[in-house]
Amino acid sequence: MKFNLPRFIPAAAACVLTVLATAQAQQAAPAAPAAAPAPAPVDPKLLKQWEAIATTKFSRDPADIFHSLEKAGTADISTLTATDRFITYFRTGDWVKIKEELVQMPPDLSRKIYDKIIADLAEKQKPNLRLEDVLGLADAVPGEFTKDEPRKLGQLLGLTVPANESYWLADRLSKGTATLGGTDPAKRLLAGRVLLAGGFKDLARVYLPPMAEVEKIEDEGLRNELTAFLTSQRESEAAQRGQLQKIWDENLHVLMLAKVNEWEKTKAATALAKVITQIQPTTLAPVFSDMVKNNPEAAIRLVSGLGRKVSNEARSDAAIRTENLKAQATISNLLAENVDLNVQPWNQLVEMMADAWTADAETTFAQKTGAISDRTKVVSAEDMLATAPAGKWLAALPSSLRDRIDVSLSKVILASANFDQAADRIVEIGKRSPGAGVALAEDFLSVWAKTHNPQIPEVLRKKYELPEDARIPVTPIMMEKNIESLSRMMALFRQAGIAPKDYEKVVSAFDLAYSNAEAYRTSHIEKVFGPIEKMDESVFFLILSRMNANLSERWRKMEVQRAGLTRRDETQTLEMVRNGYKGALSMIDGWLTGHPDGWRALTLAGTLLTDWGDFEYFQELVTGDARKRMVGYKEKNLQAQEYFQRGAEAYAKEVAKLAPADYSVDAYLGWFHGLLGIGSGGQINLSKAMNRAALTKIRENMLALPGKAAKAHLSQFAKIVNARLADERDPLHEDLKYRYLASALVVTKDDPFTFGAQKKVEYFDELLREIRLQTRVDGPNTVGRDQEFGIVISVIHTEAMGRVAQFGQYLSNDPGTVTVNGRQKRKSPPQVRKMREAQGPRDELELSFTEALSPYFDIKSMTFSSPEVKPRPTSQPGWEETVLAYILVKAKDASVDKIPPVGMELKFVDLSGPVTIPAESAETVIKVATEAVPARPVQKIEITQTLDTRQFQINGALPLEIKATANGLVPELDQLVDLAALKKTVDVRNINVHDGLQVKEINTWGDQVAPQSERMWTLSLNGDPIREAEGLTEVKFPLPRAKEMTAVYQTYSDMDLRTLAEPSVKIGRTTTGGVGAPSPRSHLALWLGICAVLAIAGSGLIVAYAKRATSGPESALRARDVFKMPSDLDGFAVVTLLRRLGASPLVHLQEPQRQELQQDLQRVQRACFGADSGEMSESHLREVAEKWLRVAC
Amino acid sequence: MPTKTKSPVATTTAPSTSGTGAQTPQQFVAGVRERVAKVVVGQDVVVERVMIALLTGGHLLLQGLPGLAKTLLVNTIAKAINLEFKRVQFTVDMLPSDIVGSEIIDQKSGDFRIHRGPVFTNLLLADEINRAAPKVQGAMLEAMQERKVTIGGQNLKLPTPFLVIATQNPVESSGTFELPEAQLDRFMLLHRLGYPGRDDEQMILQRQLGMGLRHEGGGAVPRSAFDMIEDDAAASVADLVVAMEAVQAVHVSEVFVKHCVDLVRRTRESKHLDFGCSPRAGLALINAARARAVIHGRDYVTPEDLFDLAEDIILHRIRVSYEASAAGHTGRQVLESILADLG
Repeated sequence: MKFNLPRFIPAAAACVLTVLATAQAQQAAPAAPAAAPAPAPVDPKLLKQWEAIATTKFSRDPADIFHSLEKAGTADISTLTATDRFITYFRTGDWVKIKEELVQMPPDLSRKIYDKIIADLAEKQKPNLRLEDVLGLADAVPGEFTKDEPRKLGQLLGLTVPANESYWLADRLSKGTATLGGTDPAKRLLAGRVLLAGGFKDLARVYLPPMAEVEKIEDEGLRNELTAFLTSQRESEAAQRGQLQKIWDENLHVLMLAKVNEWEKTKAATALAKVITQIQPTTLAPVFSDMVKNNPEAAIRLVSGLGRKVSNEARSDAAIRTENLKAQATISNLLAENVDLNVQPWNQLVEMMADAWTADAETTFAQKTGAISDRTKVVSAEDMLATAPAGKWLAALPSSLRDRIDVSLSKVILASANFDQAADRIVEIGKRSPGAGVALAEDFLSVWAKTHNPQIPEVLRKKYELPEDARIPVTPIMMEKNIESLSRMMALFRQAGIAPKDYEKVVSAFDLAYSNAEAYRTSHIEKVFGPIEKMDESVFFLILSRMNANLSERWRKMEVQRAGLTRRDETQTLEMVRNGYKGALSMIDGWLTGHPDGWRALTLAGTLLTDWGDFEYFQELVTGDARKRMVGYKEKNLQAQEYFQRGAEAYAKEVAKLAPADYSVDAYLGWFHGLLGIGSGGQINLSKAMNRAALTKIRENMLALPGKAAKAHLSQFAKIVNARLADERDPLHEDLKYRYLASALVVTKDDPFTFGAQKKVEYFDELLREIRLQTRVDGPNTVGRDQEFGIVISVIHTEAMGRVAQFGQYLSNDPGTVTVNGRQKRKSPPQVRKMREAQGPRDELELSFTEALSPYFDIKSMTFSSPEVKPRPTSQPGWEETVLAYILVKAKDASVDKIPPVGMELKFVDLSGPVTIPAESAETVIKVATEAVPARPVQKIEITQTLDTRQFQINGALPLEIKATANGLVPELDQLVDLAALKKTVDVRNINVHDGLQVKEINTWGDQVAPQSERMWTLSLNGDPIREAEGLTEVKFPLPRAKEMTAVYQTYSDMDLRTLAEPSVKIGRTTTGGVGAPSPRSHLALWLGICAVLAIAGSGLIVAYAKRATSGPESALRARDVFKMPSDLDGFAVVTLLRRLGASPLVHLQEPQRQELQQDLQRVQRACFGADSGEMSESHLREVAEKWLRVAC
Repeated sequence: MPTKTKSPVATTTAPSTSGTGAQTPQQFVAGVRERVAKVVVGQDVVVERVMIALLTGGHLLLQGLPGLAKTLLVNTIAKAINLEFKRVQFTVDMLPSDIVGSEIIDQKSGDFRIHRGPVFTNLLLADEINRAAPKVQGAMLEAMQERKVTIGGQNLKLPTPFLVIATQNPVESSGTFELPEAQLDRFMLLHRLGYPGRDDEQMILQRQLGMGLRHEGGGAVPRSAFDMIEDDAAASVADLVVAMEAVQAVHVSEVFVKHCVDLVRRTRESKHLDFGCSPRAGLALINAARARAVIHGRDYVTPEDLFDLAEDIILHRIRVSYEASAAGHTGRQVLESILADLG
């Protein structure tokens, strides 16, 4: 976490800082205290905040840390109060800032806070600190340590660092911190005191001064403490040494005695061997030399005892083995000085000791290369080098063992910090033994790769919670340095004739040397691997394959570019990838000049170009012209075909030299994959149509192979296809499966090994026999040049297939569900690329139909059936038709003579999982006539004409809206209505055709499949003359041209839409429209009239008038229109009728009549529904019903 | 394996409150209605529907907005007949065991014992049933259908009478699980509650004005309509049983049955409906009509019963087709047209 540093120091704090600085200066020069100026007063507010720190409980519980991290991340830390700021620094472990804060405070206060921090932390069993925190806290001490502080810090250290991990502590203190360790005697003393308090006694010994110096320490308490420790240590060591010496002396004595039996002597030798590692070489050398000379038997026993110890402890911890190796090195060297190592048994003894060393050397190297992860089991490379056989010991060994030791020594050097020093030794070994040299060179590369791997080690990744692919960015300078180093080594090995043969390692090393975000440069490749044209085929193939993989998976990604800190934008990245492909291709061309028949390289070039083509089309880095993308795509694919063809030809030349076991179909398979759109990285481009011509070429190339090779290659190809088909772990993509198999069969035809694939394709084809995609026009096949007509696309299928195929799934963009193994499973979107970007199955269908039809027709609209579309019966028994879409089109020109085949991809599930099978319709012949043709078939035309008079009185606007719907395509306006009558009474200013012909839905349930279409026109009528004219003007609506058409005429009365009984309306200056509807003025007159009539005619007439006025002329519903004699006459029907008559507002009954009705109702109910009464006869029921119908109507 | 014990049947055995023996069905209905009217203003139709459900042993789903006195009503009726009443507010995080109960371990004995859920009651108000997850709804509806539950391998019968009155809010759809048609079919009646009329609403407010405070301990809280529910029962379970017997005795004429069948079959044949009613609808119609006849003091059913109940019985059992829906037809309109043709 990076904090915002305080951008300013408050003035008061600055003053304090100045004062403190001065105060420190005064402390440094105590001779002149009087000259120091008085400290400036501290801002009381700030002082209060500082004092608050002293009362805080210092804790580094994770919850507190997270809280502070949140605060630091969300707020500017400089804006916090001094208290909060200090706490935040403390919890986030920013000890430098803690020190800065402390030194600004008054010394007493800062000391108090510092001591409280240590005390609070030391209180806890787990203070949640790291070693760096304790050292940082030590460095944050405001001024000098007090007497007690090193002890408290030591206690804290003891709680923080486990005893078995003290090597980190040793390492850190050896480097030194601002206050502890290093080389400064004062700091070393402090470190010793801290370590002593922390319980790290062994380490404390290293840092504490010798006793003589300790005795000079003025502080009596400290002096006594350290003296006591050192004395006790010295005594303990002296006691140990004495004990050791006693064991040594006693057993040595036993060994030297002549009269002692064998068993005793062996026991003594073993005991000596056990302590031999603890005996100082200065003690051991004279004793052993003397023993060899005077009592060789005892010496042999001692050496054998050591050998047994080494052997028994071969699996012990590294510390024990290191001691053993040191002891055996000492003994071997002493033997070399005192005896002839070429004679028995000495020669065998030293050989065994050398063997033991080589075993450990291998372990050390294995740890370096990552084969062993537990470092406590491994003797360090430095110790191995120190104990390696050398001098006379080495010289006395047999040459084969010497060579082995040479190799092991090289490996140990590789495992050491200065691994590059091994290169010269490897070259030397290579001179003696080229095989060993090559192996060592490869090991060298492994170590080199490991050392240069920018991947952050797992331990650190886990510690810092970094992602798995976290790596250090390789900067251009680092990269150049890496390449330089690798090329130097490779040149050295090449020169010595020991160039590594495991090219995978070389290429991996080269890849690691490179930045993750940089495309390989030819110059670098040549620097490391030598000139391109002279490059070995396998290494060249490997490097190019790696480059291709990186081009398609790594370098093009912007996140990789960002992680690599390249600062490349999208355009630059696009350019880099293009250059990468270009460079790779030019390398292939360069290599081919030296190897014209390199079929692998040629095939790789084909694959590279296919991938490049896909990249050009699908790249998401830069939005560009789709046409340009397509051009780039096609161009690269064409070039790829050329390379594939050349690759196949080159392979054909080579095949004669190959044994049948070495036959390879890679050249053909690469070509095949390129044609199918399967990229080198496994990515799939589903937009590639099946290219039969090119597939046939692959077959022809294979057939052209000499002799039996042709058949053998075809069979091998077929086997691979079958194996791919049966691969359950990585099944073929459902959209690719059919095409893969069908394409493979074009290549292999009737090869017996493709029998499985053949069966599969036959099965798929059989499925298609029950499904036929069909196109037809919505009427006669002759259409007008400018006439809009419909193409109906449907699927003809068997009833069973209709149920299986679920055609509704293609009519919705919902991915829907597919049944897999009887369980409903949500279908996942395809992980493949298509040139058609579709949202779902319906879009896919739309794009497919558009693609097929647009070259011939202008597509006006495409209407799909609803996903719940039901199949229609066909004339063929057992077959049905499911209508998919109705496409409204117009022929592009008169030359159009057919509806081209349209395709769709049908999805099925077979035993190997889902599969997509393409289906295609046959061509449908049509004729585009230039002369007049009849209108398209249409039925049930309904015309609604609405004269809008709402604005007429205001501005004279008089729009007439004509809306027509039909089962079929609504014809043009002039074919629909006769406008002549209208034009006689009113001028038509203009006609707005709105959106033209609209297909609302497909009627798939009627006798014929037809579109439900709609069309609307708005005729702007000139209302001004009518408004100016006196009285009312009759406006006649245009009448339909055919009797079959139904028409509704509407206009507005006030703001209410009213239906007219006649196709005309009278409007004028004083009217608001509506037939017979009075204007406001005439309303008034009428009401006056009505009032008069009311006075004369009485209330009955009022009711009658009101009824007529409210219902209007077109809705004068009467009881007789509504109530009829029930057809099925029973009690239920009569009761229902009587209930309705009683409740209807249309029926007006007097109260006595109403009561009589209720009585009759009850009577019928009781008679027909009661338990006891007998049922009424039908004639009786009829009588009751007729009676009340008469009364009511 | 637990031993099979005798099925514990919880039966309410409240004595008749009339003191002189069981009430007649009409007295029973009038008594309950009177008691409800003291507490709930209006809602006569809902009271009638609850009574129908009680008398026929069917279940009732009330669909309406919150605040329409559903809980108050059910609570009042339960108290009026001395029925055990429980209310469960359904929520999305509910488990089936929260309704039916579960087997829990007895810390003292170490044996498993049955903890009975709220379903073990006479009258269960399942508030906002559509908020619960489908498996909880399923468990609930299964208990309604079977009138027993299985806990830890034991079949436990539910008390008799057992009536579920569920509610659902028709407005909110977020965070709810709409009951599927098959489960809606388990409800004999689905009644759609409307807002009270103007006069009723005025009366509700006026009643509240005069309620005053309820003193508890040293403090007080304003009284609510719940405080007006009388503790003593107006009728007993025995009275209810008498009324239920009366329902069974109601005569159903052949012509009525014929028209019920016609109605149900027409829902299946209507081109405007995706699917119509199951035979269960016909049964519900006849049973409910019988109960309504008793409530209205008749011993025979009439077409009026059918017309009155058709919406609550039929409407939730049919689904309007997409085409009809697109053409603006609603379920109610389709049913009305079927009913119009029926007569």
